[in-house]
Amino acid sequence: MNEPVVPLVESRDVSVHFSRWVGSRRRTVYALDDFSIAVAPGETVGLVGESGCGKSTAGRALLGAVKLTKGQVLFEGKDVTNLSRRNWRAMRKQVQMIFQDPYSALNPKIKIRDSIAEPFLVHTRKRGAELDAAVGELLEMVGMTASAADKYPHAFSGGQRQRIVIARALALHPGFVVADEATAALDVSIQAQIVNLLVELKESVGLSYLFISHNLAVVRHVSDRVAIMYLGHLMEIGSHHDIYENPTHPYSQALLSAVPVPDPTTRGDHEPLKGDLPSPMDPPKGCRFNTRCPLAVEQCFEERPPLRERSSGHLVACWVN
Amino acid sequence: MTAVENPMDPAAGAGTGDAAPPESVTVMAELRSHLWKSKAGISGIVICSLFVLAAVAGPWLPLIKDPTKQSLPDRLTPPVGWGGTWAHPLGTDQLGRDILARLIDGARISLLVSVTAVIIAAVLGTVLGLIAGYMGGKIDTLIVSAADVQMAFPGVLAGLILVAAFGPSVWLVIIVIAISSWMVFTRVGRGLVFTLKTSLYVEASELAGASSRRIMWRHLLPNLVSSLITLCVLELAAAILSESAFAFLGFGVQPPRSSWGLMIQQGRNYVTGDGWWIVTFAGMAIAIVVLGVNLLSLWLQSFNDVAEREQIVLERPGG
Amino acid sequence: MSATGGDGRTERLLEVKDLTVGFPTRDGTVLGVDGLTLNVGSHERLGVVGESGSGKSVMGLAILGMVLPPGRIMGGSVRWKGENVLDEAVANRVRGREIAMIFQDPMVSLNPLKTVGAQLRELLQRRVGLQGSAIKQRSLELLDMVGIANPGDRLKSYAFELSGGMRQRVMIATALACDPTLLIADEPTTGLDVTIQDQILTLLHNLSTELGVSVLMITHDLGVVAQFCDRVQVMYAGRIVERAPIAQMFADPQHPYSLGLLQSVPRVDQAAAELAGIPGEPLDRAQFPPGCAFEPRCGEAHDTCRGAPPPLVKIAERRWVACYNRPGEAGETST
Repeated sequence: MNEPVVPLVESRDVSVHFSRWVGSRRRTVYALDDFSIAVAPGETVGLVGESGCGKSTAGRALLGAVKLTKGQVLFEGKDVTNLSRRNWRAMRKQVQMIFQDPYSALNPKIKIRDSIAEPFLVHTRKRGAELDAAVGELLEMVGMTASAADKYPHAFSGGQRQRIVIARALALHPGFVVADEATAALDVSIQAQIVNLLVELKESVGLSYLFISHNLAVVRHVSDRVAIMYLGHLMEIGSHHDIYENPTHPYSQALLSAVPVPDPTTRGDHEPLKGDLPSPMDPPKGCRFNTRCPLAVEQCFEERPPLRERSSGHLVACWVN
Repeated sequence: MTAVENPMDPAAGAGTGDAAPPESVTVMAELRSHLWKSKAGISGIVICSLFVLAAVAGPWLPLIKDPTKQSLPDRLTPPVGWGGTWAHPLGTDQLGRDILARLIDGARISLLVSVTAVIIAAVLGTVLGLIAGYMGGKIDTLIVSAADVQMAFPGVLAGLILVAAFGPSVWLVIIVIAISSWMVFTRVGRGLVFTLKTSLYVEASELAGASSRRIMWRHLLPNLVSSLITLCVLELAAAILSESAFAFLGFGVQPPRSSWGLMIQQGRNYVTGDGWWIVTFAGMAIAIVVLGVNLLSLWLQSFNDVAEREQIVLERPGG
Repeated sequence: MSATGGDGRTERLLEVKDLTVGFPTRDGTVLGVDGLTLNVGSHERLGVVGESGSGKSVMGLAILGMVLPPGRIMGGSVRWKGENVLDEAVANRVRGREIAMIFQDPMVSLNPLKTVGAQLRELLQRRVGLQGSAIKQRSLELLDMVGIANPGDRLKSYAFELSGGMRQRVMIATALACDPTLLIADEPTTGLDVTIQDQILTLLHNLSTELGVSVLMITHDLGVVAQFCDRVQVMYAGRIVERAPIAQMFADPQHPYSLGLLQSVPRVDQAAAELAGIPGEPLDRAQFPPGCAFEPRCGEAHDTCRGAPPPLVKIAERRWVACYNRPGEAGETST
């Protein structure tokens, strides 16, 4: 990746395989294969794909939250792949995560204050009034009132809880935040509020995001660069413009044309992509998209296409296009 | 049914988070309102309260005699209604001791033994369950195997061995009951932790760098409490029965102190003839208290279920 | 795909009038659906769009008299070709035959213990009265119709062996088994992957055109509505706030809530400007204001809005809005 600056977070050829019991057999899930991505300071990279594409695993790999089968994760240019538990704890201050389900992301038995205060208690010496002030400040930053701290999660709606989750993630001023389907569980009117909040915070606090989502429209709205994944492989990565105006991989093209646009004047006949998603436990050989690709040729069934640069920063893994 | 929309969207309060959401009804108030609707719950509470009251305040109540005072001329006086007098409302035993006073004294022993044993078992079992469930791996295997072994080992046998070694005492009974019921808490606790530890809030806490101890103590334990309290009450009933059984076998409290199990043991020779009331009242005391405790636990369980169900409905607007 | 339809040429199939569904709670009865009026014509695809808590799913079930206790239908009428569907005898005759329903989660309506073939067989025997080899033949035909490859093999599959998209196809096949005239689809593609959603929507669209089945599409997704429906009704807090032909709704939304919704959705085909969003949170049903339920979040609210809920009035041909700021033609309230 030819970024002029040292990337804030970078993964190099990261693979994550894990085994899972299916009935009485142990099967390997190929969640992520040779995944390389870099997020520059202040940049938002969108990571898009359907279920089983490994996008959540990719996000967790960058946070050191899953065991890597292969590859390296770098933070500010330093290899953090094999950091000891103690050193990872220090890293934790700089990377954080926002989850999909705001209902399960807050402990129902704990007051909002204590949820938000946890990162301070773990990493800092802030206590008492100083801690309360910090919690109040964070709540106000995400558009809540400081008085929310005294309540339990059930007093809040999904959108409000997501704000609280964001406040907790930003407590220690991390530079890098993984937002894993952060708006997927919310109603559209609330989704817009949260998307706007995330964009605002990026400017005001100076954040980089890895924005993981299945929603291509939301990703288009927030991202500087976009990566498209399918069954654990990165298929295409490029600038916002490259992906949405000039999608090159047949999968990217199919994905974009499959999204229903909220505008009846765009109706037109298009042929939906055929077939089902293969299981990540049994991925096809060669290009993983070959079972559904309308353009597939013999080579696609034999050899995995490498990511090749089409124009500056626009990489596509396809033998045909 | 997922397709049904929740009619009670709690997402309350207009304005961006600055409107006050509805104050949640406190758990206690909720508990009370639920109690009044449940006959089993009320009966359970009444029986248990009487039991505790008798055990705690019994000796200071007026008209209650000394449970150890013998009076051979009054031996085997029948209860009021069967030719007895109000001097001994429930009659006397083979040594002329007042049955009512001995029942109340027995309640003290029963309460002391069962509550202490259950507390020990609950604390020990829950801690082990938390560790096994959260840590997993070898520690989990070790704790689960220990629980399985304990499960298969008969408590009475353990009691016999310990009595043979140390001689009978109340404390021994407490320990025997505690070690024969800790694994119930371990199993239930571990099962709950298995589901809870996949919650996103646990992952969030791990990502924040919180220690395992902190996660178990601050995040997992509070979510176990309501289920474990119900379990405690259920185990209490079992402990009361066990205590009686041990006393009956002569492992527990020794004469002249009284215990319901001991009363049954001593009274059984008179069952068929001139002293049926000794065994009858002691047996009834055990049956009623165990029934009361079970009713209480049943009600707590139903309350938990309702609270859980309503919380899901209240918290998760569907559709 | 046509963006018109549902006009005077069509025959009215389903007529729902003033339908009210209540749920008793601690704080008194709350209304899941409040005085809802709706018509579906033949060969029409009507969309009902709303966010969580809008009552759209409750409405879908109530139309077939399937409100789950403790909820109950408190008023209004549902007529199917003139007959009262709220009458149990009529409902039993119509439900699953002339009106079929599909849900977001196919596992709700598929029996996990029976093969796809066994379920279709039972349905075709009991409801359609087919016998012998005709059953097998019709089963294969149905699976083929919903685009399932190797229908012969699939008849032997259990629901859990199928992927999400495949299950949804099987559910559509079971819904079509009795040749329905109206299909109520409650979020049929929510939770499916984008490419699979595309397949299912295209399938439903083609089937409704080829078989002449009307569809009542209940969804939260404005994209689905825009691509699929001829006409749309927007619901908020149990009431219809706007009803319009599809093109007009998206080009010129009249109710402030419809407008806010449209401005909240980012588009995949356009570089987005700022997302407007709608301030505030959806209301707690138990705490509705006496007036317009959208008033606390509405930028145009004034005193009148706090008085009583605005009636749904006709503002132009085939356009209805429930907003005091959009006065309608005199005397025309609700159809």
